[in-house]
Amino acid sequence: MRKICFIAGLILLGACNKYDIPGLFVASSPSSDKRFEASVAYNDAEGYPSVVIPTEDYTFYAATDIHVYHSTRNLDKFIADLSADTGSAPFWINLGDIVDGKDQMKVFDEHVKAAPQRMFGTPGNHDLYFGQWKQWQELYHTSSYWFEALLPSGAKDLYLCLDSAGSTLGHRQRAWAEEVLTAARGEYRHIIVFTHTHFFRKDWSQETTSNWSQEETMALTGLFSRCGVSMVLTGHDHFQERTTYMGVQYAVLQSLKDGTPDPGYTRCEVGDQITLTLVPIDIP
Amino acid sequence: MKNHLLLALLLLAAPVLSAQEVSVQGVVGQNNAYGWFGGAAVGLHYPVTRAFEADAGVEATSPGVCSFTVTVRPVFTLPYGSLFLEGTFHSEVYACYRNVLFVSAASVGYRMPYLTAQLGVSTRILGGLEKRWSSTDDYVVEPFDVLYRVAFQVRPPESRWNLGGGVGNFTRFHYERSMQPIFFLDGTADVGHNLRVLAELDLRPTGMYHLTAYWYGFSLYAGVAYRFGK
Repeated sequence: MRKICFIAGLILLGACNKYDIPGLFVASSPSSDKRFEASVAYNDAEGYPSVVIPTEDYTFYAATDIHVYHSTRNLDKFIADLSADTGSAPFWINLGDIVDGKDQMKVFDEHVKAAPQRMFGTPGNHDLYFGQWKQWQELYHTSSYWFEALLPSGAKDLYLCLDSAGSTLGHRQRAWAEEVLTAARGEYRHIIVFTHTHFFRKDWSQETTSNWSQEETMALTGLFSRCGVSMVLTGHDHFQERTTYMGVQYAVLQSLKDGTPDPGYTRCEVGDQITLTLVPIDIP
Repeated sequence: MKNHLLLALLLLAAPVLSAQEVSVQGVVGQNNAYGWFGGAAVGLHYPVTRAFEADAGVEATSPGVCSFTVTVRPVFTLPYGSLFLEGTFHSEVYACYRNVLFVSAASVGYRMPYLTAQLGVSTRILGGLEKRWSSTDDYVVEPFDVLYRVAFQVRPPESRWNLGGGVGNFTRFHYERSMQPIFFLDGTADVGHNLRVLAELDLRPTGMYHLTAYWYGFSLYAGVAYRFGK
């Protein structure tokens, strides 16, 4: 009996370094509304960025669920590939779950700084474990924001970042998203929403992790459809999936995590249409 | 015109009048999708035979959401407790968001005096209200999910009043995905022979199963149920 308790204790201790077990009952990072308030305060002070793109059609890269935990092999390969593509847009998108466990966020940040492209990121549930919202805020300042890609013709693409790390937008972020998207309708060539938590549960590849409540799924998919969103990029599931629903494309991107089956990042080609291509990471 | 109106009223009244029990409840709640909301719900119970019963229900809420549920339930009385099978068709029309949800579910349950447990599977289809069924672009199928509910009562079922609670991913008027549990507390009290007062509080967290549990919302139902006959 003592041996069983000892082994269980060891397993729990190990799990406690990666998994925020009390989060099953109460999350250790602030609520969606509080995180949104902090994000808005930063956005109001610093404004919303624009990225100048030299061509009408451009390529950017997206990566998700990198889960840095004492290993950055796949991340380093991605950063090397990203840096080598000097013709791509001057930004890339990270869809959250950048770390597993404590004290890895600065490690992640050091490694991604090597790329010349600017990173726009959204937190995932793992990034909120152990009260790590504070670290996210110190490094990246905001989790609800938008940026524009300015094209030579004068047209623009809008990229809207929503914080769904707690699998809800909360009241204030939801109202803000509605305001932004309603104002953006008809003003942009493409509206691309990026957030961590995916919307549909078409299979059990995500095992027992949550996604949205039914009402929030219907509310947000209805909003995206009404406002002419072209594409919604998400992670969380770890396995890529493409869905079209009410005229909007929903893409779950493949995970880049070390040790997962078929890791990769996604190449996004934006023109009149948006095309996504998985680039597998194949490190022996 | 008068005859058409009469026919329409009779058609609406028929399911109500043929039920053995009719419940009418008001609902008030708050969640991250709607904010504060209110509404009303009507439930009908049909004990067709001793071994077969059916339920129907409709709920309408202020954001512009209407839900319908029809459940059939064969019941097998055992030496201790009873086993039941349940087949459900449920729909939620989100007129405010221009989309609709269909859920079909099948489950098996075991009912004891103080505890009832139920486990099953469900399939859901999300559609747009302007959908073209010939195109797969307007609907999403989530083919397989788990349905579960465990409920306890503090007193035997035949008591004049009772309190209970439990957890599951569905209620009479709402069917959630398996990773979005609904914790509930409920109570009943008989007033006279045919009338019963009902109340139910549903508490809903989100993000529990990926270890970032936050408050999502609640619903509070209160009303009466009337049993026809002796």
